[in-house]
Amino acid sequence: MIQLEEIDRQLRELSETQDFEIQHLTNGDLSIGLYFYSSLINSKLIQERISEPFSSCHSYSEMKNILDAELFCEQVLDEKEMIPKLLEGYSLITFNDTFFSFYAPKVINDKVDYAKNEASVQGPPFALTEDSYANLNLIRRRYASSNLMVKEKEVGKKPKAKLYVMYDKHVVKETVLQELLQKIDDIQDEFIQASGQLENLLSQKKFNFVPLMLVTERPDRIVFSLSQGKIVILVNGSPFALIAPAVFYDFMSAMDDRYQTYWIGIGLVILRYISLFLTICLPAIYIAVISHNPEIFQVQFALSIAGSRAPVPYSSFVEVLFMLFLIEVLIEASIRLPKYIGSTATTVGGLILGQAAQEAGLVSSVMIIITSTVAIANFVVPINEMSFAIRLVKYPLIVFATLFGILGLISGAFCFLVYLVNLRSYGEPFFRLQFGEHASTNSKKRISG
Amino acid sequence: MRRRLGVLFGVLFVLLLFGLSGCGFKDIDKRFFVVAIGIDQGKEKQYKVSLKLAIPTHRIEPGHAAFQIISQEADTISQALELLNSNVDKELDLGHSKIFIIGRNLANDEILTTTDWIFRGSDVQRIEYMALANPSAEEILEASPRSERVPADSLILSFGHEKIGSSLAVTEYLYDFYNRMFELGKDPFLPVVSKKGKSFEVNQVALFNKKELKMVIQPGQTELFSQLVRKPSNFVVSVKKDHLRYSLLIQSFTYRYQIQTPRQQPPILQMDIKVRGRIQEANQALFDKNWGEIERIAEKNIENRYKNLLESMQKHQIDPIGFGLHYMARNHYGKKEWELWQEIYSKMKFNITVDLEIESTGIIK
Repeated sequence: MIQLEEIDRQLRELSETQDFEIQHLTNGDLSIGLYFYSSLINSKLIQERISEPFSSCHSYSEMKNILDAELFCEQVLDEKEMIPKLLEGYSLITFNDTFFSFYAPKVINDKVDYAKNEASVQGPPFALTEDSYANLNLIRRRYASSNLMVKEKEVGKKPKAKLYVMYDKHVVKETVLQELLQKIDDIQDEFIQASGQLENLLSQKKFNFVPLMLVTERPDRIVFSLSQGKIVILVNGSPFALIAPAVFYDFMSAMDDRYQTYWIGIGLVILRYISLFLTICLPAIYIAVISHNPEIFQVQFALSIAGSRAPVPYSSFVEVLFMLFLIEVLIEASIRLPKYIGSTATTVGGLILGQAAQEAGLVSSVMIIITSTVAIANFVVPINEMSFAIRLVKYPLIVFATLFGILGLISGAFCFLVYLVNLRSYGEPFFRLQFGEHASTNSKKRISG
Repeated sequence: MRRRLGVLFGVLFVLLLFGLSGCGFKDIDKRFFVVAIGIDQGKEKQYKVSLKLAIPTHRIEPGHAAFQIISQEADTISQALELLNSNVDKELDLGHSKIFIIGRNLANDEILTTTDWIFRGSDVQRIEYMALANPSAEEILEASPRSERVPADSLILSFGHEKIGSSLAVTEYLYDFYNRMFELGKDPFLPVVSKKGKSFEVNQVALFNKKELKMVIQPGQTELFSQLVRKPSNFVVSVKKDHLRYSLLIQSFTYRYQIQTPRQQPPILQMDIKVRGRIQEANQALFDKNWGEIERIAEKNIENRYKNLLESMQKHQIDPIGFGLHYMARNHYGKKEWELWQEIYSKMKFNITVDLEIESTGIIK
């Protein structure tokens, strides 16, 4: 049975912090004790549900009936679960040496806001919130199926983070689910605050180049993934969900593709793949063609480039690295800057610097075009995670192109392709482009019944 | 910690390597682009090699094509190039050379020796155009029409297929010329570029057997030759009979031929030409006339002209259209087939039928 001294000691320890409140209520006949974190508790609820009925109570049995009848109220039978409950937003009620916990949380981060990272033209505009209950609500409201399962998990050292693993039990692949749950249980060390962090901990390899799980903030993408048989993990406190297994096409598709007519959707996807190619290869192509294989151009263009490069004393790769460094710094700075200063940075960096660098004879005018193409095309990738990963890929290719020209570029690109093809996301082949993408999990089964 | 330091040093080392680009790394602005190569007979030595170098400019304007011509005499072409390379301050890059011009004097004998260098050369693209220059390659290289934006642009463009309606200009690629030089039953030809004022014109074709220049097709027949070799559309045929004169714009042109070898009779080349076009110009109203008659007149006219061209080529025993290849591909007699074909070709009669269809008279009434 419950040990009173132990509880007493724990409560005394808890009361050392200022926002832990201890209240003793008496109404003449009876007295009860209330213990809670004032910062976590909606005091109005306690007032309505506990203290008001209590003031008209005259016997212990009457009070016990009231508490038993209350929806989120139950007796605490183990002193060990007391503190976690207090930390989750329960208040502890003691009377007559029995303990009750009453759930009255104050949640202020559950306001639904517009999607900021994955904006959509025609799709639902709202994103996930920081509160997992609100997120579960958002998802279950869209995915009205009793097959949708939610598993709660706690991971990490103290303080533990709460995860919710969601899947459609009819279409999910059992092996993938087991593997993922096992991985979650294996996590030990860190304190998890963001989905991306969880992804890193879950990933099989230490040095991953491209993300193998998809991070999204859009409920419609989550629901679509669930219907495909994928597994969604929500991290409490993070407005992003983690989706596994993911294929390459998932990162290249915006939810809008599905809301548009067929050919427009296809066209958009093709547009993104072209942009992807440009952002990865363009700087390397520039170096390879300028320094090793100028015969690839039309002669008219070659002469114009040679003319524009004439005042530039440095080799092409120095020029490229210099300009790319500037643009990376610019991107990084505009992400971290407060919104008001952000536009200044882009103006200064983009307009003035580019123009001035060319006039100063540091870079050629074609290089300015290439740099801006690379930067713009990079942001066409709809999922930020992938966009960041892609930003890095061009540098190895630049090294290859510098050393071996077009041949080096081709072999470098081939190596990258081989790497991608070799990747598996929870047992599923990762590198799927658009075609055959729907068969990635056993969603075929879903269609046939 | 030690491992991280190692990685850091590794990265630094790689960065340092970037500073050591060496001399093999030649940027586009450290190269001289040769846009055209001309070979003439030298005065003292065997060859005189002229190169047209494009000078890169930031702004490209009509009439401001900056170029430089350098020439050198030597006994071999590669030797001449070597000497030329030491005359300029940048590396000569033949990768953008678009046209290889051979002086008329060199064509009369031993075309194979002259072209040997370019057949072997690995730094020249195989899609280079080839031409014969009249009177000399150097003069053609020097010509720069006023409309030119990029050095040798007009020369390249008048050979390229981008130019529409160039039924007079027959073009020849290096790879095709090479092919014809060594393929039995298909003889090489080169367009002839002649100087005309500050500019030049391309309206003759020089035909070779595998060794030397055999005949030059003059402007009246060049377009017929071009039609047989390239099968272009959009060319004009002018017809004249009695009081009727009209021009046809040909929009579709196809032909097929068959080589028949009946016994005890001379071999026959049966060629069926199918032409469709519309009347572009006429000296009288044609819409109400009998179109069939008008067509007949044109058919007869075209037939005769083709027959003349084919017979004159037969007279010189040259075969640029590839009848021989056609024949040998369909009749196999081992090693004897080439001799057999030569005999057939010298005796051959040409039987040409033209099927012409006028699609419209251009105006309704």
